[in-house]
Amino acid sequence: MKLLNRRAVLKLGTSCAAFIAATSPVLALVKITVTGGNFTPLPIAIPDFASANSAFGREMSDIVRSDLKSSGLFSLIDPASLPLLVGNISANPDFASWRTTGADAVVMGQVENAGQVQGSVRVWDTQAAEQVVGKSYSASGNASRRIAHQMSDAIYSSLTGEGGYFDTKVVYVAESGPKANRTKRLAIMDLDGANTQYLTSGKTLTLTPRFSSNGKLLTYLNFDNGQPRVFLLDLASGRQQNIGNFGQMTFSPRFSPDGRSLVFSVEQGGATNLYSLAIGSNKPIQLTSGSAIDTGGCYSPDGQKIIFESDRGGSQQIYIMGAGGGGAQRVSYGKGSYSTPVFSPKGDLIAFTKQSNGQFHVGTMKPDGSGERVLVSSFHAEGPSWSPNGKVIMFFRDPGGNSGPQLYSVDIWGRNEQKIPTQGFASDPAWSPLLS
Amino acid sequence: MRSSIIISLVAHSSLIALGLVSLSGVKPHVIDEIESISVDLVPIDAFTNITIGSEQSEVIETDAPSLVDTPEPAQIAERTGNTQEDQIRPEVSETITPAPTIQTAPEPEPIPAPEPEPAPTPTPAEPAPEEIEPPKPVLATEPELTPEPKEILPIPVIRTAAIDKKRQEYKRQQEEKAKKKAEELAKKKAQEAKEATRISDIINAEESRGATTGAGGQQSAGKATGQAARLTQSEQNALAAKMRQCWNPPISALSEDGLTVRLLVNLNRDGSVSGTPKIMSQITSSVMGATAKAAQRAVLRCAPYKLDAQKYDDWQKIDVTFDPRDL
Repeated sequence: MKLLNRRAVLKLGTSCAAFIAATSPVLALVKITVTGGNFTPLPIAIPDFASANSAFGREMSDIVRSDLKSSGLFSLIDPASLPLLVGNISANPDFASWRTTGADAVVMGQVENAGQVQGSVRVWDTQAAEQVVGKSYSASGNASRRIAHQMSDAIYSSLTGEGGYFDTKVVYVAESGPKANRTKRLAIMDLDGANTQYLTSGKTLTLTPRFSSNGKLLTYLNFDNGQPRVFLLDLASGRQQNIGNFGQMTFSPRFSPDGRSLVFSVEQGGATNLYSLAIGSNKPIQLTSGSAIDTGGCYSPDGQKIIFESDRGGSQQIYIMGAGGGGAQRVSYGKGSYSTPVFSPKGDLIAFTKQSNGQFHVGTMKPDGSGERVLVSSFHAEGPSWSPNGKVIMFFRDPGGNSGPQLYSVDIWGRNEQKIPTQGFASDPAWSPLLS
Repeated sequence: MRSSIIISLVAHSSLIALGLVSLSGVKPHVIDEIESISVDLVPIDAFTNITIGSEQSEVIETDAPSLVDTPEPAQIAERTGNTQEDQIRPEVSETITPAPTIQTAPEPEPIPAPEPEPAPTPTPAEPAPEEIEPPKPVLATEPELTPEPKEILPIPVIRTAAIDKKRQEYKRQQEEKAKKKAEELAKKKAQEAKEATRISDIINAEESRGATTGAGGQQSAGKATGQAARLTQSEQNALAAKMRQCWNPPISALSEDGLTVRLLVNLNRDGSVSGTPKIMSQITSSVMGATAKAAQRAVLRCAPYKLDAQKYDDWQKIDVTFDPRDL
């Protein structure tokens, strides 16, 4: 074959001309794309916080370290190997020496506890040699742990871009006593297990606690005189109140996002339907009808939709409808039965419990039912509750046998499963919104 | 003598016989014919700068070269004058065919030189100022009142703006006329050229002078993101891979769809990063801000970069896009 026929020569000439015309006038910028990347926990150095009382400074920095470590997104550099053992918040760090420790970020803090608790924190980027965030807090003397958690939130959100979740509380059903005769009462504690308090006496069975969106009220199921009834509990005063006796039993309550009404289930004559009730009124509005069991109602964050579980299609599945009721559409179509749907705080995901193949699974899906992702599978795992930033889910797991349930958390990528420390057995967690 | 011959004969024949028996088992020498692979030695950038075709690119219709323009199959010409059939006798027409005329294209006329500007129209001469005779000095005995000599100045020719305007108007009209005339002439010429029968006339009247090349918007089947960078693809890949090693995006970047961050990186001649990379993307969320910071850290942490110092001009400034997808 003749290699250089006339056409080829012509083409070559034309393309050369085009090439010269295209390249010579402008200096083309080299453009490269870095795709993917491996997620590894961010190396972070936290020297002890400066304080007039060095023991207090170490205690506060330990709380912050343990908070950040529990998130799974940070790897702490051993405080003993740092160039500075006690941080100095008012001076610029010597970035070159911090870089040699491998830390991408350095946290300097100062705390004082003289009557008032005061805390300041600065986060520095060692590579860019600049401050990422600087904040200061103050509170009354007994709130030092909360100050530390707020510092953790500031560090977490400045480095991850997400809101924090350390300054929160958890309400759960504390279980004690022999398996055949368990006492179940409500308990509240900090996220890290500190400051546990019991909210109910344990004389009656209490289940399914849920926070209101401002974190000041609880609603839960109380077996008042043997009858399951929905109760409200004011956390500030400890006052408890029955919302009213509707039907044979009322259960599975949850607050609306504005905190002004509740959605719950009412059983009457074999049928279980969803009702909503404005708090303070005694006239519930029926949202679903029919002979099926509709329960587990949960408002979307904008208050426009309600998701719930129903067996109207034969098996237990998740459905969605308008907040005013009617026109429910099926969301979940996977194998097995789905229950306990919960909208994430951003409304971008639904957490659920699924039973299939003799196992329990806690997972997430998009509100249209797509993108199902199982985060945890276990003999018995149930009851997801969202962190305020929508990135972590708390649930409980029961190993069976004579043992009892425990609380765990896992992030929405299925990583970093952690046990939440509680006094005794615990189930049915409810994660509060951010307290500050 | 004889015995030695016999011994030699027997020994040789037995040796040959032995050879025939034992050597026959040797594998025949078979030549495996392996097809050779032709190899071209090309510089690496000639290979790596080939842009790959994209399935999403638009299909460009090109004319396939064909020898026959009509879809009908070619007719085999029949031999003439070989048929048995009667041929149609040509009719004798009464009308006389007109003799062919030859139309020729006109000789290209020289474009008429612009007509000389008309001389400015002479303005009507103003009447000359009348000479006023100075009053004769009257010699009078008695002093009389002599009238003061009146001085009457000549009225100057006033070049008013109106005249200038008129002149310009005239000039414009003349130009327009000339233009019209030239256009008509060209039209006429073109028409004549079209009707010309001689091919040479038609060719001569053709005005186009070949095509131009350059960035003429010609579509290509290559990638839309193709670029004429002087760093080879493998050099760019190596750079990206180095940065990727230090790229530790925040995990929430995973759940944000379509989140990318662009940085402009200034490099020194030794491959170290000059200053902090500039964030070129619009930061729209806190997650994106954290991702951009992580990208800056990645670029800074993996410096210095080993690059061909001779091409420093090409990699002095680099536009890096960080895309945290497929974490």
